[in-house]
Amino acid sequence: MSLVISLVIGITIGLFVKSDKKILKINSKIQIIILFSLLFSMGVSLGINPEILSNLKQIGIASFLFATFTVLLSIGFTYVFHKLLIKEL
Amino acid sequence: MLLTIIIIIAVILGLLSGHFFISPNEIENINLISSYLLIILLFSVGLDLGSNKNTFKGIFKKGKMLFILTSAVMLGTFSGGLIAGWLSNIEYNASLAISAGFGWYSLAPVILNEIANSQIAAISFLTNIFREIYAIILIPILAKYVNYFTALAPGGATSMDTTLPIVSQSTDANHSVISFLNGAILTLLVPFLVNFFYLLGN
Repeated sequence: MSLVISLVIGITIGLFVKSDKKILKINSKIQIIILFSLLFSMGVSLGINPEILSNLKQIGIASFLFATFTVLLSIGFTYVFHKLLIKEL
Repeated sequence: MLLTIIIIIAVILGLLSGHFFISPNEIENINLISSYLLIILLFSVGLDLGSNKNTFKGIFKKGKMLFILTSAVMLGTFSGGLIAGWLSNIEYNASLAISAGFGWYSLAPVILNEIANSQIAAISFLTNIFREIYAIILIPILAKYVNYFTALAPGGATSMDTTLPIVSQSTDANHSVISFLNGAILTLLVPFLVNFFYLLGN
């Protein structure tokens, strides 16, 4: 919920700074720095868990199959639906 | 492409730090800092969205596009989950529950650890992380070589937070809004669908 509120506040303020390119440029840089930090911390939570690293083969193969098929078919359905239903784009 | 390389470097640096340097009792602080950073990140993304004049135009058309996107992602995710479960000898109810995490690797495994078992929870955890990694790599590539709309497909629930900045950097403001709304709907559905699907088998 706090994420949605934060986004809505950002959008509201964004509506008033729309002509200020300087602020938007700084904002874009801040975005990349925070994203880097968040992905770093995701890496930490993976590297720190010994169970994940030791059972990685069994769990890893199944997880790889799940991620691969769900992502590929999501892309496939989205591509086909876009072609069939959103012709004007 | 530069963004993808920066992201992969960040994850690998984190992995190595987590494995070699950071002690397990520090992870709570890291998670706490991350949750605050995520709030700032969403504010920053909101600033991007709000500052674009075209962001809030054509809400009706967006509603149609949003419905098409969310339906396609759900259909693709559940059918993909059933195929992966069939290949890995996992029951259909657990397979659907694993896929219904939509990339939300912090919540879905916790639910499955409670109602299923640690094996299923671990698979859910890794599946969702892999999905996010796929999304991080594929969004810029799909946006460049296929089309912006298809680039919104891999993110799942992460489309509203962690992969939203990648969408906003790779596509335009209109698609970023659709991506956020799609991620918000899927995020809302995760706790319900994970429970519902797993309990189908009992």
